[in-house]
Amino acid sequence: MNLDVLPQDCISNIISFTSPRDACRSAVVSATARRAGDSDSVWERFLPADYEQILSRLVSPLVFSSKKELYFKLCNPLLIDEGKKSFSISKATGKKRYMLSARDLSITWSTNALYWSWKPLLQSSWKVNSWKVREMREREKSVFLLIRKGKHFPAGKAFAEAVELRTICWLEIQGKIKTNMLSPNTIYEAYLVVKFAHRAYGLDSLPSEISLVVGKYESHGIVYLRCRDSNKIVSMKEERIPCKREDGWVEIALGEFYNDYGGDDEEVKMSLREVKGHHLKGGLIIEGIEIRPKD
Amino acid sequence: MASRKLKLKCLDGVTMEVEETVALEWLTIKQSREDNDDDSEVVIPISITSEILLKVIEYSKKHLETTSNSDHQNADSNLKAWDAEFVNVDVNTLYHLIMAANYLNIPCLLDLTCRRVADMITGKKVEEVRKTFNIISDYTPEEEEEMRQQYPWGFE
Repeated sequence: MNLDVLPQDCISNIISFTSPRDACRSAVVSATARRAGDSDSVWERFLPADYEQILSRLVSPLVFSSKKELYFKLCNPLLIDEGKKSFSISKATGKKRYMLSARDLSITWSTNALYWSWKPLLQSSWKVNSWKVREMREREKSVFLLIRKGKHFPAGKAFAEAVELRTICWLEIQGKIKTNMLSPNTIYEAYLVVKFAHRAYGLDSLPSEISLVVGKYESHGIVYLRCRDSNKIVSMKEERIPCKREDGWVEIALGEFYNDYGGDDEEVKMSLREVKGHHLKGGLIIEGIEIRPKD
Repeated sequence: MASRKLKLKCLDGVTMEVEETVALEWLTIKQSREDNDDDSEVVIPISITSEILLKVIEYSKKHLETTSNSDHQNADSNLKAWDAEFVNVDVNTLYHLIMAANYLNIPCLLDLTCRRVADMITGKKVEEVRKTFNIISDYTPEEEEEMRQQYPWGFE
């Protein structure tokens, strides 16, 4: 007896209890397994429960001909909420990840051009070595194309702006996200995503305080705002180390927590502050805060 | 007060008597009783062998017993352990149980049996899956390679 004796929707039911990776593999096992594994009922189970609501918040609508195709399209970050946030899912698990843009954060004094300067995210003055920017006008819209190693990333996937610290004593950055936006029963980590301009100064004279608070849970730590080679780490007990990302930016861990808040109306508050030092600091460029499931 | 018994005629010709309370857990039977509301002793034909029907009866009886028991906390974990043992059977029996659960429309048994098969597939290579489930691939080597290339991430 082999698997073919079972009705196709039973086979689909079985595959939906495995994982996205196993479902991809089922396409190779046999033609019957492929038909069952490619079915919408399987991939709908892997998608987040509220995926339709999330699709309605996309800046650019997605076109897809199957739930499997939709799943893989959502693995790449897409702008939602008028470009204030981006959303994607982890390929292996289908769990949700978000990035809050700099505009979505509360940065003290950021509306004052003396202290903070808002600029388009994709701009050669960021002095990123292997990137070039070409601006095209398309009807009334400007479309920024990012060209990096021959790959093009159409607009709709990157935030419009980042913010650079010109000079300030009081450095305070906060972000918030509701727990019901995240996948349930998952450990999440939050990271502040930044770059250090060539002219950066004063940022690491004193350690910055980082914290993550949700419900009754709180975690605190310190980090020195400087980019280090991650191979030469001498980590002190509570010190976090900024790490280089694949996209060339640097991420600073703000904390982690277990999301078991269900439908409760809880909010995660994440922050970085350096407000004890009276000295001036500058040259910190902020892209946003990323919240993603822990590996 | 003795519970009424229903007569079910199996695929292998054997007629079995099942307590009505148990049989009504099976949505297909429940539906057919609601449609034919007569008291006469009707023999209901079903596409399941007597051997498998016995196992299905065993499952439903155990679950009915547990729901009517008051010791909630232990009952749950004991039932889980019993369920795990119940599906610890060879692949052919599992297939028959899945088909029976599908035919009789018993959602929790269908779930249990499908999850058991899913556990046997998760993380396994294509060749191992074929071996475990006696599947002969109907792809040519070229077609198989093309399938692998479509979603290479599945094979990392």
